[in-house]
Amino acid sequence: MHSLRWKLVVGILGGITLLLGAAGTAAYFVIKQRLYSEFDRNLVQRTVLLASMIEQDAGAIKIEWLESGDSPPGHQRGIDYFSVWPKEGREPVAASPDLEPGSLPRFGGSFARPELRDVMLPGGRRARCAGIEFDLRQGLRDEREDEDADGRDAAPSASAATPVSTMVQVVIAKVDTVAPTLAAIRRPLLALWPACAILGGVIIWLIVRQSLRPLNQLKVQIGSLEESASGQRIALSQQPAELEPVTRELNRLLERVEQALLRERTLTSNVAHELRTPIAGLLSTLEVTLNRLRSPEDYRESAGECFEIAKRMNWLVNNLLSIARIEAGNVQLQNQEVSIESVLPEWWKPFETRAGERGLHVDWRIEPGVSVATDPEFLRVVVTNLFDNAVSYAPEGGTIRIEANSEGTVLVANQALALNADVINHAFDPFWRNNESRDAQVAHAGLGLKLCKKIVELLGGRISAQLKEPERLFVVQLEMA
Amino acid sequence: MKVLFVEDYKPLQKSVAKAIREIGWAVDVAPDGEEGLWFAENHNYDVIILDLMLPKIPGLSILARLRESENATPILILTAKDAVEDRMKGLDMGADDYLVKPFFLGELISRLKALVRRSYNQKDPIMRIGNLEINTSARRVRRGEQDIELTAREYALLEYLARREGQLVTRTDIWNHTYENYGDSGSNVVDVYVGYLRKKLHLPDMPSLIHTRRGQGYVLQEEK
Repeated sequence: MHSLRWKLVVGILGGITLLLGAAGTAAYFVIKQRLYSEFDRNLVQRTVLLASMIEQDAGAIKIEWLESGDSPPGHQRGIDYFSVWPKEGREPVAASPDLEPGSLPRFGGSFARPELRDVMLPGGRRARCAGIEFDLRQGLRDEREDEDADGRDAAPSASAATPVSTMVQVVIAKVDTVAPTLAAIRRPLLALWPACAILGGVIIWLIVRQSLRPLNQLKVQIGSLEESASGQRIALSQQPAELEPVTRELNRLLERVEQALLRERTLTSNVAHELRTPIAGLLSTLEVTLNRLRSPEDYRESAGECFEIAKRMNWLVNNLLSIARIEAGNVQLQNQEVSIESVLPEWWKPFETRAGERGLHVDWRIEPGVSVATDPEFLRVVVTNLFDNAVSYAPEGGTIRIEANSEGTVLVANQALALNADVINHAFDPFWRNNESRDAQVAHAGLGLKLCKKIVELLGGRISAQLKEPERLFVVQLEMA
Repeated sequence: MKVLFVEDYKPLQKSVAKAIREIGWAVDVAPDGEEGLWFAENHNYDVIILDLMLPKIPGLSILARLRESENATPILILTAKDAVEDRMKGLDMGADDYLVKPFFLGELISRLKALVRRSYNQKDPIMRIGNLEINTSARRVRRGEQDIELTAREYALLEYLARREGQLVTRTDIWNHTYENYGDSGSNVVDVYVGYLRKKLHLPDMPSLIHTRRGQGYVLQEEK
C-alpha cells in the first residue's frame, strides 16, 4: 500500500534502529577496549612489581615473596598465577602451586615494555600473561637506585661476574576477568535494542498519526462541502504549514468552480427569461384571437404574427445551441476560400423583406476580389447575425452600411438609437445582467453578438463593436485575416 | 376605464391592447420607458401595466418616479423576471400587482379589473345603482328585469360613470378615462355617447339615472 503513514513509520523506525544498533556497538567496543587496556596496565604494573622483588643472593635467585609465604603480595588465588624461570634452566625456580608446571608460556619483554600474550589455562580459562626477561643485577641496580641505596647490599653488586644466573624470566598470568563484565554489559544492551525499537515504533506511530490528523480533518472538511451552496471555503486557520498551500489551491479551485456554476446558472436563467417574452407574445396573441369569432383576415394576421414569433424563437434557440456546441468544443472547421464579394449579397437576401418593410437602405461598399480562407458556414452565422441586428436596430428609413476591404475586414454600421454605451460594453456577454433598461430585441442582439464572438474566435479572427456618438452609429467590425 | 401599457415587445403590445379594448376599456401603448413616463405623468389612467426591462428608462425607475410625485394610479408589473426578490422589490416600491410572463390574457384582464375596483373602493364586481345592475366581470347590464344591450363604448362610459356614482364627472374626465390618446377632447363625442347611453337606460316608469349639470358635466345617481 502506498501509505504516507507507513512510509514514515517504517522509514524513521528503520533509521533509528540502525543508529541505536551502531551507537550501542560503538559504545560496547569502546568500553571493551578501555577495560582491557586497564586490565593490561594492572597486569604490567604487577609484573614489574613482582619482578622487582627478585634478587640475586650469592649466585642464587632469591624471590622475596617466597620468604614470607608462597604467594606474592596481592595475589588472588585462582585468578593470579606466576612462574619464574632462570634464563638457562628448564624448571621454574618458582611457580604458583595451584598451576601445573608448564602451563604458562615462557617469554619476556623488557621492564619498560613487558610482553603481553593471551593464553588458555587448563580448564579452558582464558588468561592474559605479561612476561619480563631481565638481568638480575640490572634489576637490583634499578632497585637500588630507586630506593637510594644504603650500602647494605653492596657486596652482591661486587659479584656481578656470575652471568649464568643473572637472567630470569617472570611471567605473571591473570585470568581474564574482563570478559564476564563485558558479557554482563552486552546482554542488557542486546535486550534493550529490540525493546527500544518496539517502543520507538509505537511512539513514532503515535506522532505520525497525530501529525497526519489535519489530513483527516481536511478530508472531513472537503467531504462536508455541499455542491449547491456558494461561498464555501476550507478554513486555513489551525492548518499545518504543509497543508496550507494545498488548501489555498483547493479554495482557489472552489472559487473557480463556483464562478463557472454562477455563469451557468445566470445563463440558464437568462435563457429561460429571454424565451419567456416571445412565449408570452405567442400565448397572448393566440388567446386574444381565440377569445371570439374573428374574420378570416384576423386569423390570417394572427397566424402570421405567431409565425414570426416562432421564427424568432427558433433563431434564438439555434443561436443558443451553436454557443453550447462551440463551448463544448466539438466543432470541426471546414475551411475554404470564401469570396466575400459574392457571399455578402447572397446572405443579405433573407433580410431584404424585413429591411424593405422598415424602409431601410443598404449602402454596399465591397472591394472587388476580396476572399478569405475560412469556414463559410460559420462565417455565414456571424454575418447574418450582424445583418439581423442591423435590420432590428436601424431606425425606420435609415441606412445600413456594409463594407468589406481587401484585408478581410467586414464592417456593418447602422444607427441604433435604442443602444447605449452600457449595452456596447456588454455587447459580447451572453446576456448582460442587472440591466433593467433592455428590451427584448437588444437581448437578442446580445446573444447574437456573443455567438459571433465565439465563432470568430474559433475561426481565428477578431470582432469589435463601438457606438459612435452623437449620431449613435453602431459599428461592428469583423477582421478575418 | 383607461389603461397605460408600457411594453417594448410588439406582439405583446398588440395582443394585450386588443384584449383590453375588447372589454371596452381604452388603452395607450408606450414602447419605451421615456414615453411611458411621459404618458403616466401627463394623463389620468385607471391602471398602468409596466414592463420592467424597458429601453431608455427602466420600469422600476418609472414606478419610483410616479410614487415620488404621489401619483397613486394602480400599477401592475408585467415582466419575465420571476424571482421572489424581483417581485418583492416591485411590490415594495409601490406596485399593486405583479404578473410574470408568460401569462394568460384572461388572468391579466381579471387582475386589471380587480385593481380598478379596488381603486374605486368597490369590492363587489356587481355595481348597483337603484335598480340598475352592472356586472363588471360579465360586462352585462340590467335594469329591473330588463337586460340592456350596450356597445363597447357605451359600456365603458357607463362603467366609468358608475364607478364615480353620485359625483360630478366632467366631459374631460370622461374623455380621459374612456378614450385613447387621439382626437380632440373638445369635440362633442362625449355628449353624443352620453345621449345614446341615456336613451338605452331609459325605461318606462323608471326614473332617469344620468343627470346633466349644465356647463359642468354629468352625474350618475338615482335621484330620490
